[in-house]
Amino acid sequence: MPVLLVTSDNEQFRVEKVVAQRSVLIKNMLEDVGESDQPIPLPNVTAPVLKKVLEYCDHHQTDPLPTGDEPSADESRKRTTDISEWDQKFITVDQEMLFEIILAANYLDIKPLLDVGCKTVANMIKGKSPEEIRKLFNIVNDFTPEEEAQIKKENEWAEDR
Amino acid sequence: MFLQPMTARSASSDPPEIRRKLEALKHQHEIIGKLRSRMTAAQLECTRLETEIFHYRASVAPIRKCPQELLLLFFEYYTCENPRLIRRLLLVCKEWYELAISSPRLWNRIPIKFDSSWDIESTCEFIKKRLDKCLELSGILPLELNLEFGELIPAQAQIVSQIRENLLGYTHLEGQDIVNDWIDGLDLDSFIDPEIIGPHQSHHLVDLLGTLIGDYGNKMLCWASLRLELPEDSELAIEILEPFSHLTPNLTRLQITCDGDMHGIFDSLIETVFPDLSALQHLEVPSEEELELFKFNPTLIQSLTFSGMYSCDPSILTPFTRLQQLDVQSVILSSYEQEDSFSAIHLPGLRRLLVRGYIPNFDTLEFRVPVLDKLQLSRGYVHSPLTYPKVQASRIGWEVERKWAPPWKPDRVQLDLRAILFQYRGATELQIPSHFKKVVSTLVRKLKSDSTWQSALRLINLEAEDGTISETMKVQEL
Repeated sequence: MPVLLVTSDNEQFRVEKVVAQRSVLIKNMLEDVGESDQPIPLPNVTAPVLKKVLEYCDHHQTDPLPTGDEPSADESRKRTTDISEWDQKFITVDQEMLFEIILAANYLDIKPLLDVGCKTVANMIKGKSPEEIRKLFNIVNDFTPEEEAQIKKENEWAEDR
Repeated sequence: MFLQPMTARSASSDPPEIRRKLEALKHQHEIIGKLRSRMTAAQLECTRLETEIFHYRASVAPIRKCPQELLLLFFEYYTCENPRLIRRLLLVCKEWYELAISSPRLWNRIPIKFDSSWDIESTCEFIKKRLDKCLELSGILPLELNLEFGELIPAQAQIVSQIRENLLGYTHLEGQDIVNDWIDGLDLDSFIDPEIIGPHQSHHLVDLLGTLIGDYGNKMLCWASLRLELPEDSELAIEILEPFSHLTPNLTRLQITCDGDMHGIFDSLIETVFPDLSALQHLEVPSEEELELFKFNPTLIQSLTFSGMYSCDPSILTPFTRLQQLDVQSVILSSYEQEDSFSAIHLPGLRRLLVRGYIPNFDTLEFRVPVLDKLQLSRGYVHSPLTYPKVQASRIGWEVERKWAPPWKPDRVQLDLRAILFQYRGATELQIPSHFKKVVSTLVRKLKSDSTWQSALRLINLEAEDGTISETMKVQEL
């Protein structure tokens, strides 16, 4: 049975229940309201972002759902920043969309998508100096030269020992 | 080229034409001066506008929409492979600095790696700085330690290796045996001289470990996991292990690797190290022979790894009644005897079995286990047989251990896969490296037309080099 989702900009998406239920938030909402054709409002997600999120959910609709009773599995996911080929292509978007997808995955509670987004950001930072990281994300260096020197001095350890 | 102002002044002897030119020159200088001041003002204005634009863009930068919980997730992924990288994030901006230093999760994983460094003292000082910071900022979070001492060699051995390298570089091939004999005959203890090398270089190492262990072992109470790579040199290994003689009631994961004689090392420590491993759930030891060196409750162990397995005696595994994952790897033996006896192993909780290489007699064991979630078979040498344990599993993984990977021929791969598909007919999924896609497709197509092959296989997952699934093939569509 399809589910009707309504975005913050009032666009409607009719999707298969199995796809929509990749979101724990939607899954719980559907369980709460029972069998109903009431539209589900998603006030924190815009149409372009939801479209992308649903593309991900559709592709991964047959993946096993994270059970939540495996804390070690959750931890082990954080031990690698590898991303599958399809996911990598999917997440190749501009920065604005990338962070919108991450926020949506967080709000909709889609852990595997949140992982993909966070890994992508981590991979973007990899190998960069603090100055390069600032440039990448438009971050202002608000340290005074003295503060910066002090932090450098306190943390001058090797990255391989 | 402009005239200097002094030379540009008019003199009484100048003819009227030159005076006019000097007037014109003065005027031009005034124009340049005004332009310069306008340029300076324009540059200042540019800088001001750029700053304002940058600050505006920074204020609406997409990353600013992320709450701190998400920033922290980015940091965790960024530091997942190397926690030491956190130092770069500290310098980005005040918000990142404050978040990083107030998040114990970024500090409780502590890796320490030693190589064959000449200057252990300064290496230790360098590491200690980070260690102190980690211990301070990790708060009450359990510690996860990764101590790599595998490459550490005694100072005397380092000197010998340097002498050998230097001398052999200037020795003819025929004279090298004589030089090697001379070096082998050197009295290593004679190097322990304050003028050559201090006798207690390793005490710096022990001091460093003391920071991790704490006063009377109080820090060891917080250890949750320990991966310890011991040096091959027994004396050094003993010096490193000796302080680990306090209680570790919260240690749930222990991995120990050692290229040297681990029994000899532990024997000389007379059962003083790791006196309490009562919480241990995950254990990795070089082989089943090292199990007796540790005091743990086998009924609590959930995962067990032997880097090398010598014996297939079922009584070794029988006490591990709650084992969920067993990971065994072959040991390269010059010869082994094939036994015909069939023994049963009861492991009612086993979910995953990983077998790497060929383990003699392992496939004669009768596993009394439920249908496993996954059976992973890793091939070692091309000519050695593959072990096919007597189990049923819903997912089968087959891979080639890359470090031994010979140029694989399709018929060899086909033999393995054919055997797997016939033996594990209850499996619904098969996972193999993606470069064997053609081999597996051809084989499955052929088998589908074979009426004797009844299988539950539905999906074939093709694995990319980074371990992720790059493609899934449906068997019914082949």
